[in-house]
Amino acid sequence: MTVLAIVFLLFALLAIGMPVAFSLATAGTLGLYWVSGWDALAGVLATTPLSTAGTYELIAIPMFLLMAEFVIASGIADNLFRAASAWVGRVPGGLGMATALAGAGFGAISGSSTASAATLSSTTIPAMLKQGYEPKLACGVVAISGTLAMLIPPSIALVLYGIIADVSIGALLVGGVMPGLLVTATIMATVWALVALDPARAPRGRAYTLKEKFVSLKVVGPMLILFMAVTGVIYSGVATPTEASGIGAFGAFVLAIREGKINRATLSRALLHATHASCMIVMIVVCAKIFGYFFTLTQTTQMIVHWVGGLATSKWVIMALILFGYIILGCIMDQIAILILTVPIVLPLIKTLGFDPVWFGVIIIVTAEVGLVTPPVGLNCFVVARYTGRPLGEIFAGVWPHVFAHVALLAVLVAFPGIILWLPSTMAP
Amino acid sequence: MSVHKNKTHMKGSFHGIERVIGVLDRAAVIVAGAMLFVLMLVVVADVAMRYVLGAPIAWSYDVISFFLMPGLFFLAASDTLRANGHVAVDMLHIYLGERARYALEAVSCAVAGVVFAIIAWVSLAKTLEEFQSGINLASGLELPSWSTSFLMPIGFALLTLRAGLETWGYAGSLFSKHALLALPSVGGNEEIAE
Repeated sequence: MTVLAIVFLLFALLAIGMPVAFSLATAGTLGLYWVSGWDALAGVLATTPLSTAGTYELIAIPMFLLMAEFVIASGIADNLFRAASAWVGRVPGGLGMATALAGAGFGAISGSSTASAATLSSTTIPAMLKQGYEPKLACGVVAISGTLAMLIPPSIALVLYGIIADVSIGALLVGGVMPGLLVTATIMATVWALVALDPARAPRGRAYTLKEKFVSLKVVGPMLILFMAVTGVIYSGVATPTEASGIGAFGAFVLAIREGKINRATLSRALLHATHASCMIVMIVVCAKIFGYFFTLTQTTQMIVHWVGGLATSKWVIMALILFGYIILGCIMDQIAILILTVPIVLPLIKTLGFDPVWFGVIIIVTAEVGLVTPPVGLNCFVVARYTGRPLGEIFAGVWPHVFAHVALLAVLVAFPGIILWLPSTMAP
Repeated sequence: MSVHKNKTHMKGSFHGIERVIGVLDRAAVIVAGAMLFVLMLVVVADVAMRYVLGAPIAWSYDVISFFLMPGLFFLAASDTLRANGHVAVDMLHIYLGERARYALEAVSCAVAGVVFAIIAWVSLAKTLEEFQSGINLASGLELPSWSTSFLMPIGFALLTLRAGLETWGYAGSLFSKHALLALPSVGGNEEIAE
């Protein structure tokens, strides 16, 4: 009864728009006071924030956020699209495909999907519209391509899952590589299909000479170095993911200096943005911990796991229901918040059912990508709308074909766990 | 006439206090940002020292987990609220009118403010207790425990002030002709990185 009342309060606070972290802190504080009194509550409140914020593994989050800011400041993301369009721009829907490739390239050096959508918007959409692309198609492909950053390592969301679930962050990040490539291919295939159905959607672009093509590759060098400095270093076991995150941020910083883009204004802007975003994420982690004590004291998680474990249903039906739940939640809530709220409850269940926690981590990130582009709160669509001045409805409309293709791919990844788990299994121990 | 005067007065004092709290938040977030930069340098130096000289920096782990990470978090919390950087569920706000949104924001800031005040209070009590007992950190740093725990009451006190100010701003906007405080934009902002 107490649990139900507190959970109801949590949802009510979330619904009225109180920040997710604050809702968790409020509901958790009241719940703890209710079940165990003032002294226990004061004990939790006085120690939890400090010990949680001081968790060493958490540093990968501010570091990857800072890396994304420096990558944006360096301006190399803009050139990625130019390079990709020199190579595939001539084929039908080529600029749309180039957008997906640029999204994958940006994702390989940045872990933030919103940053990716913002960066892609400002270069790719003007180019596509200039060539006469249907605005719906152009905006849709940008919104979905931005989500690749949360799947292709470095990924802030995967790091966060690793911390909450206590699963190897290195294996998770490397596990994101294959699905990331498949999602990129799926986006390109969807663009191809849309253009094949109605060629008027995407007029063909001009041809590029071989020289132009190779000159455009100049940008790929620094991108690959940065990718290897993070993912390569983790894969080969040279450094831990936390160390690699620091190397990545520093590498991006050096790159931005080399491009002549670091001055007092850009440096303080990058630091301020990364500080705010880190604080937002750590705040949710801290407050979820306070709320988590309430769930632990009332043994709610065990009750749920025990109840579901006792159901006489196939584990695949339960998995399908869980993923369906994630897609629905993704439509109404922020992805980071969903992870922090649900993983502590869902993960024990997943393990009881015999699924691999690394595989599941990558699967829910692929699911979260859908949530980033579906109405009414698909964050990436809002970002694209703000950066391009196009109406939000047009972007949501343009992204639907990608959502269907994405869900189909999700089914494939669920059916064949080896696609995700093969690469981590070849990692240096 | 006097009502109008009162409103102008309310607006003037709101912006006065907003400026003062703004300066405090700004100072705290500048320190937090500097800590982030130092954090990056320490991590890289640690890895470099380990591979080049075969000797990692002995104090890096403790300095990061006792000072840099908590400092980055606590000192930035309030300024992040100012920048509407704490992510919320916008679902309802997409469909609501301006007045309803102001009312909900005021309620949510007021409730959160009470919780922050409680946390600020209990963490202050703990810090003072540690200060009086002179207990040391459980690490090789030989530093008193309060040297890290004092960050928490500071962070939550700033957060309480900011939440109080926003409650005033949102509630006051409901009753005055000109908005004291702008509503956060729906659909998040670009600082919310995912």
